[in-house]
Amino acid sequence: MRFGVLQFPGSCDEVDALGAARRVGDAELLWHGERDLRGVDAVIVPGGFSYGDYLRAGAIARFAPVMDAVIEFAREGGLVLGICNGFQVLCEAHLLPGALLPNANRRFTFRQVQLEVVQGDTPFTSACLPSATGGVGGPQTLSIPAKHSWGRYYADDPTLDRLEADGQVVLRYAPADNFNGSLRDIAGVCNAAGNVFGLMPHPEHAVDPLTGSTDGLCIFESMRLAIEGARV
Amino acid sequence: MPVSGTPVPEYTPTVEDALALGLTRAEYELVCEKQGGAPNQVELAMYSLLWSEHCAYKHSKKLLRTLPTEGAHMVMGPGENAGAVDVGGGLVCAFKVESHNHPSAVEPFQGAATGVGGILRDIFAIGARPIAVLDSLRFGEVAGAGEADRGAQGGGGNAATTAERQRSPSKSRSLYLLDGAVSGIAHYGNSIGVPTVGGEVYFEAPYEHNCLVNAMALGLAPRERLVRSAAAGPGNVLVLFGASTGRDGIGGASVLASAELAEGDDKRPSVQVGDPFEEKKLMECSLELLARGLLVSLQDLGAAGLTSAAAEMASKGEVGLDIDVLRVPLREPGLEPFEIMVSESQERMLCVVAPGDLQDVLGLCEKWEVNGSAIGAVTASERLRVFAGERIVGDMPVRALVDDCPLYDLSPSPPAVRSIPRPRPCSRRAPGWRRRFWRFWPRPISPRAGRSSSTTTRSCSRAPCAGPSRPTRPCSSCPRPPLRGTRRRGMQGRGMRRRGTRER
Repeated sequence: MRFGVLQFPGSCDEVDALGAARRVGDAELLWHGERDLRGVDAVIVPGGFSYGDYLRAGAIARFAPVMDAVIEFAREGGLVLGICNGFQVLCEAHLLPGALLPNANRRFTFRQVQLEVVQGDTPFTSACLPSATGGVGGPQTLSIPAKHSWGRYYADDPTLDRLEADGQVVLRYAPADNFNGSLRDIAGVCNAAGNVFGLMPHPEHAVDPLTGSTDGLCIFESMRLAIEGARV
Repeated sequence: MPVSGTPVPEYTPTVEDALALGLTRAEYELVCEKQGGAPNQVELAMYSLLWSEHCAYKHSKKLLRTLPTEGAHMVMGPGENAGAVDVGGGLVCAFKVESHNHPSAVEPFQGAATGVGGILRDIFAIGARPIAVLDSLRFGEVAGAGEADRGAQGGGGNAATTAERQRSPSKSRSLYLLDGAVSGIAHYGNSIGVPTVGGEVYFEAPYEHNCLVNAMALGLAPRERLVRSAAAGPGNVLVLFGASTGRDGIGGASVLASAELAEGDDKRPSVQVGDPFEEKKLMECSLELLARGLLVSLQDLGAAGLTSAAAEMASKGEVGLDIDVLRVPLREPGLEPFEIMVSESQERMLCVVAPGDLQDVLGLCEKWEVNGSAIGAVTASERLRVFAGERIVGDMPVRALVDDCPLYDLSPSPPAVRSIPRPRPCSRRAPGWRRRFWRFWPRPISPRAGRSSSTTTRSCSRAPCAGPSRPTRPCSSCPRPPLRGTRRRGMQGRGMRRRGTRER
């Protein structure tokens, strides 16, 4: 299982994404200027401030040469995970519906949030459902840190209705944790085919007991299961 | 892409120009002596910066030299861009704190942001990756009517807020400085991905006209990646990389950081403008250059820009440097040589590279899109020579620029008007003859002074005197009378005991 983590000028969290992916498989960095994905099995678009967030967050990264290859990879069904700035890039590239607006509280905010796994039937959350012993009914919640100032998920009502009807809403903020004002508490969505997934919180920062939560690991684990299951 | 500077007619500055740049008459004469004649425009500009308070610490260096500089775990001490200590496991922790008070008082957002930028550069200039930022802030009072101010911050203008601002324009100004500084620190640190993890802030009236903005950064490095800043190896190449050079911040050190604050508005062009995205690229490029072992030495450009970076590198290495300003990537055309040398454009680094590594270094700079340019060379001459193409426009001995700046002793005196009220007397009773006597007469030192007793306490129950005392020393703000029955046994020691104290 090989992950490819994109690296743009201004990316900050590609290093932790690399570290998280390496806990479940191999991983390497993919430079923004090269159109070659080097045959990786899954792509991670990491967090940070690609191109300084100039113009709009993710607006310039969307046009990086490597993104041509990622768009094609996604169209052919390859797994693509977008985290924070990566989510913004995927929305700008129209690989995911909707857009990310400034936080409702108008501040950069860094805090741990509880995320409800609304849709467990995706290649990104299949390992995130409550286990037979752990679950007590209701959705599994993941404790993941969020750190952003432009994270308010927005789409028009017809789009939101469609997302909910088609099971494309994958993660929701727990009621007290929606500090950015995302509509319908949406924290993460996937595309209609289910192979592209974006979320604002950072699962790559929740993989080591040292930082308080390892709930983020299940997302990378789910991706590994999806790839290795497809090979079998 | 380098842009030619337009040729300028030769102008020899006068002593008035030197005074306007912040030098004293005596310092100007010393410069003339070191130069063997009146300095030209480029030379005077460079001396005025390197001999400014900010760059030379001429009024504090003698005192700073009395501080300890050695330690069992110290890896890099004073004199480099940051300090570093061994934290085990082959790792070194680098840290530094620096003030950016005057720029923040003039333009709080950019002043504080570039303060963070500068301190981050100091950390990766020695090869460490910054991992945390902290800040220590002081502003004037901001909360007159607390609710009204908070209401104003929430976005509503209301009558109470307006009235409050009219009553106390200084509180509005302090709030403006606070908001700007905090936003600036957040903006710069967050954009680079270095979290601001702690700090402190106090609000007191005396800081109203002179806010304090201190930025600290912490970094980690494997020990073998540390690098020093001394230029070395005559024949080696001087490479400038990072942002292009413009007119921002000219005179920041001599004009802004070293001067008294009066009306701040006209100093705004002296405040530097920061771009954290540029610095992020610069940081990654610097760390990769070091990881690949391509650099002889590295220095960041801060106050006084190319002037101080080059002069300090040369001074530490006891070498000379030749610099061609026409090879410096410029942001706008028509910069004069002295402007290029004194510009404080942010996000720039200077390094020394062996000629064989030059292509790799420039290639890495191109990968990170940070404008690498070979702008000069290391020489054995111990002179700093500035060229504009073939024409020499400045020639100074390195020692004169850096080491021979005169140092001064401070002679403090009490201010004409106290800015904070004199503390109230500690005694609750009306002063009696004893108190009047001891207020105006120095207290004699008992033969037992200096021997501190754990039971020794101050005779006064009010702060700051209350509590167990340290070695006996008179409380300077409180005219404490001796206690009854203790005079015979000496004033200082016995006078402190609480035993037998009458409740005051």
